[in-house]
Amino acid sequence: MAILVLTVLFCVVCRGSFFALAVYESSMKIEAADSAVRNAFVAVLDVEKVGGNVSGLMSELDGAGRLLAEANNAYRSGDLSGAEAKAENVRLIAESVRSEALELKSVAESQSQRAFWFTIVFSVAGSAVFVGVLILVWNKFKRGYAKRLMGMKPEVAADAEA
Amino acid sequence: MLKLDDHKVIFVAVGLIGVLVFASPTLGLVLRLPGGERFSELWILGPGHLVENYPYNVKEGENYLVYVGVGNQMGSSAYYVCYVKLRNQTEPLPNATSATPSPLSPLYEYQVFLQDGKSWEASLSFSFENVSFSSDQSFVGSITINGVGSSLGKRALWDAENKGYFYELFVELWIYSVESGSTQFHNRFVHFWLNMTRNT
Repeated sequence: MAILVLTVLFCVVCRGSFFALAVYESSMKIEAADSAVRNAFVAVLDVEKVGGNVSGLMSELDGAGRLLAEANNAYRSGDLSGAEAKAENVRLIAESVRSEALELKSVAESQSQRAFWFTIVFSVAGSAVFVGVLILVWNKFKRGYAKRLMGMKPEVAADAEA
Repeated sequence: MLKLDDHKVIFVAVGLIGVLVFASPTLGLVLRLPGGERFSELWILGPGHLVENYPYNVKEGENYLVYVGVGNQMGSSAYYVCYVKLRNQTEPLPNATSATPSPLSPLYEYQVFLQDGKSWEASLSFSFENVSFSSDQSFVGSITINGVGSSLGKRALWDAENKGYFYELFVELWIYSVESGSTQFHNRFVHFWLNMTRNT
């Protein structure tokens, strides 16, 4: 009888421990997924800051976010295995988004650097050409103005008569 | 006829305007003008996607539908979390003055990634189970939101003034802050009252 009671007690304690372990494992997996999503989002924001197009990455992240919310909701409702499977999926998607974002960031950075220098060169060269052309026009205009001035008849005599 | 000096002034003015026009792309890179006000939008719409016909008199086993929406006007992409919570008359709502969320545990959540200027909307369907009534209080055992069941164990006392057992469903908006590395309450929430009624 005592052995039976001890066995039942042992089973109860073990079951409780296994359940606690399962809860712990699920929460760790969800935390890992959550952290992966945050890291991916920060990487996507970095791409956005350097002017890269992040619509594709944001759409992938949104899918991961939806799945992470489902994992959290499943965890809250006690569906630990469902939560774990979803969290693992989220982590994989988020890590792929992060590596895509890092690649895109270097491309976007070099593009933005090129665009920056192109803009500077455009401004400097454009201004210089414009000022140069304006000086040429001014010189031509000045000569034309002087020629026109020379060709004018003096009207002082007429004024004097009046 | 204009004097030569007057023409000179016109040429110099045209020259300055031209230089400004050519320099404007570079100035745009260097000068950062202050943007507009940055904010996020949060809303709940009724079953017809309108601000009407919100569920009010609810009972056990019936399914109710509303829509939750978020808009991003923060000037950059944002990572939002919407927490769905339920309270009775005595439990606290979020405090808008101190910008603190309600201490109640969320029953359901949405995670949304939105680019600047974009908005998002999703359905929020809910039903109550294990509802019981005693002389002056109602008890809700569990709630199912979008097919996910959660045990609730919440009581509401009879409100003699408004004649009902009132619960309030509310949605809090949280946002991920890169500076702090955590999701923070964004000081926005939307809510509506539900009157628990008996099944006839």
